[in-house]
Amino acid sequence: MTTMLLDRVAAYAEAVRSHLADLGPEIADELTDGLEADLAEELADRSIDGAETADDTVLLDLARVFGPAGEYALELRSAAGHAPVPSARRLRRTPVRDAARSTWRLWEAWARRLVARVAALPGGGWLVETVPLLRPVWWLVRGWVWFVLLMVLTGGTLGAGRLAPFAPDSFVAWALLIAAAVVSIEHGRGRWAERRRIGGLLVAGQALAVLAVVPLAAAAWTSATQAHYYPVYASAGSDPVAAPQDGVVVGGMYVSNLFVYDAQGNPLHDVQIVDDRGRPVRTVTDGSDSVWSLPGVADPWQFAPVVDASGRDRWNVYPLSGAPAGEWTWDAASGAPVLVPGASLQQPPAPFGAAEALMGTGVGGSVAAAPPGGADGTVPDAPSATGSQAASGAPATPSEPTAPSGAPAQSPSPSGP
Amino acid sequence: MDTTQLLKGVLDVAVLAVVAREDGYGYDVVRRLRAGGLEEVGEASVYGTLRRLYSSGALTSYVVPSDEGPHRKYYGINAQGRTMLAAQRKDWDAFSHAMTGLLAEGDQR
Repeated sequence: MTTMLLDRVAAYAEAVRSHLADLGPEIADELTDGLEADLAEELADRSIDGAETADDTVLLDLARVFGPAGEYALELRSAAGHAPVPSARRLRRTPVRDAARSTWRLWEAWARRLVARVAALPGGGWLVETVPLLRPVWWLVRGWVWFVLLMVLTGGTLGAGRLAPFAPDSFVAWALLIAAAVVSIEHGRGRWAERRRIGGLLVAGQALAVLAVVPLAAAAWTSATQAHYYPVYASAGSDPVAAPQDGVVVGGMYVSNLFVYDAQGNPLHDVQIVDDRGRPVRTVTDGSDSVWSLPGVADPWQFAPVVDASGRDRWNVYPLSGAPAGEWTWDAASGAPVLVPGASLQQPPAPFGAAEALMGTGVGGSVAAAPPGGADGTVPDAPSATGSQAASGAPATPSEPTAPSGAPAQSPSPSGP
Repeated sequence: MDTTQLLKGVLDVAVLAVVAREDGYGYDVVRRLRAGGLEEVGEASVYGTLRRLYSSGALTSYVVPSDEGPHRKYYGINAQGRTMLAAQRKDWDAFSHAMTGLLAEGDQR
């Protein structure tokens, strides 16, 4: 038998195979395994009979010897006990489907030629025999890819631990992974091959898995190598964003300003507030270009420090004065925020003009003997404030009504949410 | 009479019987069936039947490489296949006896 005839036989077998494609590659291969040899031998038999050899073209067009490949495939599949009528009825022919199918056949034929060529190489036979044995490995990988895609599609509702979405870390995720693997394996074994709708879905799943496997594996690798850092965050037990930031927090939010009232309920100005270690209690951090929205005020405000006797900026002097953000600009030379010409620092609106006066204090006024601000040295207005508190018996400046939550603001564990 | 319709029902047992005598590959089985008198048998039907009998566990299968061309897939019968063949042979005997009787009776009238 000539090589050309063998090629013809292979092409005919290929055509038969393509008509069995809907059964899945496993079954199609199983049904057509050894078909070339059978066809070739029958062809040789007929040649001996001499009936078809008269005209070489007849012999070359094997469809005229064996019948159309479609009919041959139909006979083969129905004798083998598979659904005799393939896709034709339910899958309408469309240009897109036809194009996809013919492209697929070209690819398949190309792949088969490639396999044949590889098999001819030294050691290629071993390769061609061994690689198909690894098919179950691909089934498992495909199941994993489906699992990851499902995890991503469900947006972490099935488990969002530090391994997500690449590895299961919840019961539901484990169940999903196992289910995906089982479906993939069963599909690989040719189950559901005759069930059109599921089959189409699984073919799409296969294509998706082929496309997604490399990027997902790369992402999983990256995630796995970085995963070591996660426990540090996780064991810190707090939101890393909120952790070490200065400021005064009341009711879960940073406050921009503090308002101080004396025992009679009168507002005080230029009150320095420090914590129990003498550190300034600040609401506004350095740079001070942050803007704060004030309750009931349309424009956000920006605040300014008070300069002490030695020329240093003091940010813990309350209430901070400032101006609406629109009245600030930047100094061209230093880059520091400055007021636009014509604008001036103002007191922001106080929550109320006067607080409730305090009645009957149980503690004596001895705290006046411990004047605050020792660390800072300069206490321009503090004596008056402390003096009035001393009358009410309040222990020290930081225990003003708004201060307690802010007092430990610089300590490592703020009284945050 | 269209013998292809008749063949459908008995192809299994015919293929089993042929393979039981000696292992064979697809076209070899076709040739032996044709030589045995089933000239109308379609190759694809025989190949499909062999695959199905193999899938159901009645046959064993092995591949024999060929120097000249594509490999051949041989089939042989196993214990389950022999049991199946024995049962179907019995059925066929009873059926053909009944048919022969029926047809002969019809002749006599």
